[in-house]
Amino acid sequence: MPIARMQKVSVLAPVGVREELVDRLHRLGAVHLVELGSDGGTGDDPALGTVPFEPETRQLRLALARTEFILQLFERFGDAKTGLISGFLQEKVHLTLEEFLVAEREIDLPVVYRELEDLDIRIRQVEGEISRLEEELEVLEPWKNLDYPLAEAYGMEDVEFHLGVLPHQYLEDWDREMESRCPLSAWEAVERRAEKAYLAAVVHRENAAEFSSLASELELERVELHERELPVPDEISITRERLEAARKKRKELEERIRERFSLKPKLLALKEYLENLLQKEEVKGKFLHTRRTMALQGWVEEARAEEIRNELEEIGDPVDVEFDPPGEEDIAPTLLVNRRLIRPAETLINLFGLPNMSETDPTPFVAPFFILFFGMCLGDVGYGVILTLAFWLAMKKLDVSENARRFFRLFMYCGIATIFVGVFTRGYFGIEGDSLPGFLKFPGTVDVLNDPIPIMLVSAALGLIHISIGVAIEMYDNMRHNSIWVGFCEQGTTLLLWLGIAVMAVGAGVKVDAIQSAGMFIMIAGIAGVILLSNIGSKSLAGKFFGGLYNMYGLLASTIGDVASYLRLYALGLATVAIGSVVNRMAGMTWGIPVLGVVFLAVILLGGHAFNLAINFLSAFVHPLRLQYVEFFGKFYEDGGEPFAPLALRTNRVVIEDR
Amino acid sequence: MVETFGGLTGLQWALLGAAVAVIGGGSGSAMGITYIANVAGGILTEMPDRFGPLLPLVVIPGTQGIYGFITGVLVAFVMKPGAGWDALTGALGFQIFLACLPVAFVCFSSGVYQGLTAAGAAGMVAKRREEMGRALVLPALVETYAVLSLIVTILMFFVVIKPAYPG
Repeated sequence: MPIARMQKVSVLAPVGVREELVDRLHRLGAVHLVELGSDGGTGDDPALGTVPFEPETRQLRLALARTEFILQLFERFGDAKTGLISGFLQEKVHLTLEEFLVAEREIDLPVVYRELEDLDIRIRQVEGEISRLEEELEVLEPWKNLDYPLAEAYGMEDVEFHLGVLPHQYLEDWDREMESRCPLSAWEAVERRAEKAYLAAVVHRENAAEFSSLASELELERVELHERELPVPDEISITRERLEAARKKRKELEERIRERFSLKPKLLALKEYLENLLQKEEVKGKFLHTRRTMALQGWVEEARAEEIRNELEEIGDPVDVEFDPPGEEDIAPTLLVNRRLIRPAETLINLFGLPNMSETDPTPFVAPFFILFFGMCLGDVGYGVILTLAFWLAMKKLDVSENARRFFRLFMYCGIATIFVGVFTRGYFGIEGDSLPGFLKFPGTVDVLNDPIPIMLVSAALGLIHISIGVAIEMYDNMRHNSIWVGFCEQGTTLLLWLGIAVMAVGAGVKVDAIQSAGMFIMIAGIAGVILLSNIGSKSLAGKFFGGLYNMYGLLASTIGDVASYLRLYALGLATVAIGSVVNRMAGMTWGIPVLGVVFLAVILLGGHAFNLAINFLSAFVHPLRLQYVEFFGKFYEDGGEPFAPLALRTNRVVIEDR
Repeated sequence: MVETFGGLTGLQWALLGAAVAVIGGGSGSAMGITYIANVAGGILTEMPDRFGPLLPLVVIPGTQGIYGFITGVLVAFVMKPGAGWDALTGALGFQIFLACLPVAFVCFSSGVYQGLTAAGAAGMVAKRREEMGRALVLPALVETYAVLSLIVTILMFFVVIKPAYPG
């Protein structure tokens, strides 16, 4: 039974032992707590008088937020990696349980936080200043030819000093109008760039009003440098110096943050430690409280019930622990428990959504077929060896989470399957059949490129077997929940029909008429069964018959569609061979080139086969997955199971070594 | 003098078929991937950690191009008569051309539409990372028809045309 049997546990205890109770539950990591307080708890029994209880989490959340702030700051100034592979390879912190539980003592969070918050504020100030200075430089830069002191220019008694930017095409108009309307003035274009002229003008007070109206008529863009005193070149060099200083300051501050990077492991440990504390605190909100007692309810694995009872009753007399089997209306969470060998395939079930508790765990069926299908999609001994070794090494050498390690193990199995299939499809780095040594062409192996029919038939046959297993699982569930007869009528008849088709196909294959006609009889029995029995649930006789007829029609269409869908296994396997052999041919063409030919050969072979492996690896993952999810799961699977998530010590980047 | 059909030799017809298949499948994939890659790029600027779950979605519409390519390779390498291309009659070459058409058309349209479907599924992954499994299935449904077209093309090559080769 690969879905764990669950029992409901109810605990009644005095409020005083709440902390110890939660501690023990957290250490056990075996109880999936359910919310008891949500409906007010005692709607039908006012005498029980519950006390509202809010877990005290403010301090924890504050500390957690500060830790996360520091870690994010580190990330901003460090080497934040995001990506497919580096996501797996986040650095881990290895601690013993004892070390982890004192994570809080290892670092003085308020002090460190104050220091880094201060640095952060100062860095932001400096950054603000840098961008302000950069803007100022941009404004000053075009006026760099104005080499008289601005304070004097602006400070003249009877004459006003103006700067402005004018589009080139108005320059002639400007010249003419200035001469006629502002005779007591002088102007000069100190710089011309990008269709714009930068004008400096001195205007006598008498002409000031006229100058203003002329400026707005010709859309002169006014520039004010009032707060500047020195000649512009000097102002520019002063601003540059300030900018340099600010940049240096920023570098220094960044350096000071980097100096604190050594705290990262401690902070990571602290963060996860605090998260566990928070989890323990929050879970108390699920309990029901009166003034003196508290109650909690949860789900546990049947197998661990005794262990839990012992652990909790150790607290003392007043703790009452009770176990009940799930009732009619209870929905227990789902926990998959599979043998070590196929456990990696559970990740594929999780990708889709866990089965609900009355469903059969599909992992034992998904595992072999997914791995075999993956192998068929690649089907090359060379690539298989590479995958197997790569994922074996990754599993052994890389410091990754348990989840990632399971994925690696799954792909290692897939690599082995690829080698296995490759032997039969004579796939050796896409080398064409004619060039392979004779001993590799033993009977039973086929040339995918030149002789596609056998491997197509194998794909179709595997498909029929696969969907038959799906229907058989549904039949098994149906027999468990309803009756054997209903199971036979609704699903068994379909299986009979498919068995008939299979036997006929085998008979045609080995050219034995007896087998062929036996298959024919089975198939006819199956067809009759589907038409007459498959709609057994209908009330009227006509409903049974016409419903059955409709089922028959649907079954025919879907069988053809489903089985054809498995031919993608052949198509994808062919893709690997085709691309591989083209790579080899391209490499072969370079053979004649003197000296450099060898280099080209190596580059094309390495690059080409790496590309082929990468692209087909992705296809070989996606398409077998689709066959599981659509064709196979479609026959029986009901998801919607809530994952079994007990209160437990949870870490992500901290690895507890002695657990 | 090589025998022709409709003015083209067998080799010319065969090459035309291979070219049409590669062009159809390749263009379909290119358009489909462009579409989903644009959407994925947009999501990635906001959520860089979604690269892993998005990548399979981006490459899914690439298989149509591969199917077109396989068809081209099969014509060029495998459909060559034992006695050389001159032995391929114009009529047989025309049959090869016809057999290439399912891949050429279906891989083109399914490649484009698979890209559109994948873009929708990418939205699922963006909103809820754990939906990746289901999100992969939706565009893979479109792929079925590309597979079927390739299967029919290959069956025509090996079951119908090749047995009719001279000698």
